[in-house]
Amino acid sequence: MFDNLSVTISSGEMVAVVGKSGCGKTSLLRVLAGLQPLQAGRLQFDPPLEPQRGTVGYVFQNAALLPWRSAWQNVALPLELITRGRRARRAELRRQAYRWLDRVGLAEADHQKKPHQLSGGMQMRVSIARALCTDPTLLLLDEPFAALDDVLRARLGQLVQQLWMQQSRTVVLVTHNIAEAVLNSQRVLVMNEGRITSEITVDRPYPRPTSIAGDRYLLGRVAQITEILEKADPV
Amino acid sequence: MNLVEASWRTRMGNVLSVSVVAMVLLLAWEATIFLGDIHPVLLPHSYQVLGDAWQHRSQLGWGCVLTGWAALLGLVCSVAIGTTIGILFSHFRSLRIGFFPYVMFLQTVPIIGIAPLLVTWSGYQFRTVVYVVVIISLFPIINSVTTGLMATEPQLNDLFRIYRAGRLKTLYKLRFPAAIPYIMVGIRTAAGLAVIGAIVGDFFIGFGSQHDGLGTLMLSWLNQQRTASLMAAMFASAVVGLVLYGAINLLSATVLRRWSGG
Repeated sequence: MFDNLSVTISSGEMVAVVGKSGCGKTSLLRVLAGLQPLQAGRLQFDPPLEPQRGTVGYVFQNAALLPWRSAWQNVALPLELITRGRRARRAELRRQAYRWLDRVGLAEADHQKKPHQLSGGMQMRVSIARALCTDPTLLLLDEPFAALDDVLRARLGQLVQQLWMQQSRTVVLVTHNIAEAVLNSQRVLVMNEGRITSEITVDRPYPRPTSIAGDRYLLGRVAQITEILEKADPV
Repeated sequence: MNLVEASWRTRMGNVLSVSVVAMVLLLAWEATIFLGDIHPVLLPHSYQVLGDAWQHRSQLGWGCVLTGWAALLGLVCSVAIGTTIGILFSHFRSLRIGFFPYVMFLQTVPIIGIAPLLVTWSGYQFRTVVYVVVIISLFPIINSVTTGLMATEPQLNDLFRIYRAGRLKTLYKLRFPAAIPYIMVGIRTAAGLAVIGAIVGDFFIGFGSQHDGLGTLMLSWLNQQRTASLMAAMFASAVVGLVLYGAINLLSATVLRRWSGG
């Protein structure tokens, strides 16, 4: 899959990965999550990550919630999984799950609801809360807003920025939306056929605006990345 | 018109449709006897069947209980055995490949061929009927449990791998709950087969035993050419099947509602 891949991610960095479909973005996230080995190339964290359970949080494209569990039970799941040997107390799990659901902005009335009773945006909030509940040092987001409308995309993008600023954990966001990548990250990695072909720094302070419209610097970065992608894959 | 009223009207409409079809079938039955001048030994009148059912009500009632109990007990055993085998098959590929052709044997070999063997090995006992039920209803359970456990969404499997959940935790927190809809389909199929198995079992163990299940009664009345009683027993067996199938459907609906929160 990867051809001479070389990536270094610094602690507390917010990185976005863009590229055309099938270029290896999701595979890169899977390698970072430890779901598949890196057969060729180099991928390192600076400083190296502690290999402990719960140090990685992963948000899937389609929320991937367990339909038989309520919103808070979905959020509590990683805590149950990393608790080895002793049974995690239900009341404590519930308290922690409620806290994370509050932080991602899900109304308390929805905490008991099953996934099918929640909208796409709410499900994604639950998925983000689930990824954060173990307080991971690395948060991986695999096109988390792809199925959502523009307003929700912007809102959830702001939410991820806020959560990142509060506890500067390392965030890797994979997206095919260049504007979303530029708006949210400090560095954009452009991928093509299993290689990182360019790295674009986005030197803008947080909190960032909700849209790139009207911001010439961000618009310029978007144009630059678009040009790189077009050159790599001319129509 | 509110929702409750609409739902009540729909139900009444359904009952009316079923009643009209029953009336048409009864009329067709009686018309066949009248127009064809058919002897009651070949096709008795509907009122004769009803009369015989009333006359043998205690035998039929007890037969329903015995056959229904054998079917239920066999089904419960099938679910327990089939679930265990399904879990093993889903976890161990070599086991699945090695044993699956022999499990298919359960599905393909006619139960009428196995039942006499079971009587030879286990005797003219109630338990033999239960064995027949287990054999006939086991395959759908094994198949549905194995398929369900292997059909877990890949992303959910990845989620559990990220948190390094062990096999056992993944089984009871993910794979088994995710397989519930498949398992319920298997149990529903098995429930229908269980009643057939119980009646076939009755046929074979009826002679020489104290067991008076519906199959035994049918065989006995067939030999005496009491067609009206035989038909009454046939309708009683349909009732047993409907009750068991209805109960399983109710259980399935309750479990699935809880499963998805609908």
